[in-house]
Amino acid sequence: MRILARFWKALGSMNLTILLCLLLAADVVWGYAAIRWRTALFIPLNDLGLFAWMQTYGRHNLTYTGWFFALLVLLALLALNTASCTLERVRHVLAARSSLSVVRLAVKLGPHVMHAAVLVILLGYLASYLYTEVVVGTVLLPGRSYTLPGDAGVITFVEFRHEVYQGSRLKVFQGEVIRPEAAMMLSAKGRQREAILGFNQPVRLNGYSIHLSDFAPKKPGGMRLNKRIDLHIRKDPGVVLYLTGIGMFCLGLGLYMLDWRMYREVRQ
Amino acid sequence: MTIAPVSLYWALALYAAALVVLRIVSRRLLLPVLGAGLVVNCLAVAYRYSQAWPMLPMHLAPVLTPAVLACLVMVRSSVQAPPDTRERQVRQLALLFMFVCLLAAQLFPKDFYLSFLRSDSIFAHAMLFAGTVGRACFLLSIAWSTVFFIRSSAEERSVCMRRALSWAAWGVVFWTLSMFSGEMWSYLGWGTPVVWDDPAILLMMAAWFLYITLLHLHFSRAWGLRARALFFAMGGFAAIVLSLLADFGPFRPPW
Repeated sequence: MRILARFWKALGSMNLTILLCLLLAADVVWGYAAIRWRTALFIPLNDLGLFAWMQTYGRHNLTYTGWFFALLVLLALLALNTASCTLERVRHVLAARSSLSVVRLAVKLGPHVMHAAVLVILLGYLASYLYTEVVVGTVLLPGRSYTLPGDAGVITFVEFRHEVYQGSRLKVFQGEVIRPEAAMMLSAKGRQREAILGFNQPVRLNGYSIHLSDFAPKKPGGMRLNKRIDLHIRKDPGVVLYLTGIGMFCLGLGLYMLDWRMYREVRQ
Repeated sequence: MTIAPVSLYWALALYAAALVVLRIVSRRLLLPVLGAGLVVNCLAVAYRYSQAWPMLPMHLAPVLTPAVLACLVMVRSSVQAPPDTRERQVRQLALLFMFVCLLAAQLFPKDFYLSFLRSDSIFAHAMLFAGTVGRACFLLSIAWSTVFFIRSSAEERSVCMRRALSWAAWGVVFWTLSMFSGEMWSYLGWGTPVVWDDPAILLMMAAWFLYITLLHLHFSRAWGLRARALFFAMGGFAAIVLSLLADFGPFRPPW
C-alpha cells in the first residue's frame, strides 16, 4: 500500500509533466508530418471510432500512424500525472481553508480548476472517439424524411433557403450560394418543431446532432441539379464533457488572473 | 467601400525604417514611422479580409502577426515613460521579428488558397485573432528572454525573465482561447473536436505543449535562470516557427 502511495506521489512530479509535455510536442510534430504525407489514413478516424480505426488503418500503417499510438500513451500518462499532482495540491489548499476567505480560497483553486478541466477535456475526447454513433451519407431531397437510429426521431427536409454571394470581389463565388440553409421539421415523441440547418449550425434531436456536410445546387436557377442536402449525423456522448471542460478551463483561467491581479502583483 | 490592394513591401520598408530610426536616428520618430508601417500592414490585412468576407481569408497569420506585434509595441511605447535600455532592445528585436515574419510571408506566400464556405463562422475568426495575439505575446516573451543574455547584472536579468514569463503567460491564455475557438468551430462545422484533414491543429498543439513546458519549468524552478532563459528563447522560437509552418507556401521570388 505504501509503495502504491509513493508511486502515486511520484507520478505527480512536475519534472514528469515537463518531460511528457516535451515528448508530446515532439510527437505531434511527427504527427503533422505523417498526416501531410498520408491524410487519407486519418480521415476515417472520426467516423470509425478509435478501436475500429486502430485495428484497421492504424495497425497496418505504423510508419505513419505510430505517432498516434505514442500520443495516446503520452496523453494517458499526462492525465495520470495531472490527476495525481492536482489532487495532492487541492488537498493542501483545502487543508488550509480555515485561514482563507472564500474569495482567496476560490482564486487559489484557479490553477487546479484548469488542470481538472484538461482532464475533463481529455475524457470527453476519449468518450467521443470510443462511443460516438455515426451515420454518414444520408441524403435528403425536399419533402423526404429520415428516421434516426433506434426510432429516436424523424427529420424532414422541408425547404432549401440560401444566400447568394453578392459583389465582384471573388469571381469564383459570383452567383454561388455562400450561406446554405435547410428548413427542417424535427419530430420526436409526438412533438414537432422547425429548425434551420446550415454549415456551422447543426440541429439537435434526442441526443443526435445533425450536421450539413454538402448541398446542391451550388448555383441557384437554370437547369441545375435537384435540390438536396447531405447530412452527417452523430450521437456523441463526449461533446458535453469537452464543452464542460472548456467552460471549466475558462473559469479557472479567470480565477487565476484574478489571483494574479489581486494578490501577486500587490506582493511584488 | 472597396479597399485597394497594398504591397506588403511598403510595410516591410517602413518596419525596416522603424528599426533604423530606433537604433540610429531618434526614438521620437519611432512612433510615426512604426505607425505608418502598421497602417500599411493593416490595409493589406483589410484587403485580404474584404476579399474573403464573410469567410476567413486563408493563411493570413504571417501577415497579421506583425500588425498585432506592432500594435503591442506601440501601446507599450505610448504608455511608458522614456524606455530603459532593456525595453529598447526588446523593441528592436520585436521590429526585427515583424520584418522577418512579413518578409517570409512575401517570399513564401500561401494566399492563393480560396476561402471555404464552412469558414463563415465567428469561431473561425476568433481562432485566427486569438492565435495571432497569442503568437505576438510569445514573440515578445522570446525578445525578453533574448535580452536576458545581453544584460549582465543579476537584477536586470531577473527583470527580463519576469517580463518573459508574463508575456508567455498571456500568450498561453490567447493561444488556449484560439484552440478552444477552433474546437468549437470544428464541432459546429464537422461534429468532431478534431478535423484530421487539416494537420495544422497539431502544430498549434505542439506550440501549446512547448509553452506549457516553459511555464512548468518556471514554476518548478528545476532549471537555473540561465537554462530557463535559453529554453524560453530557443524553445519559444521553435514553437513560433512550427506554428507558422502551415501558413507558408512555396518560394516565390519577388522579381
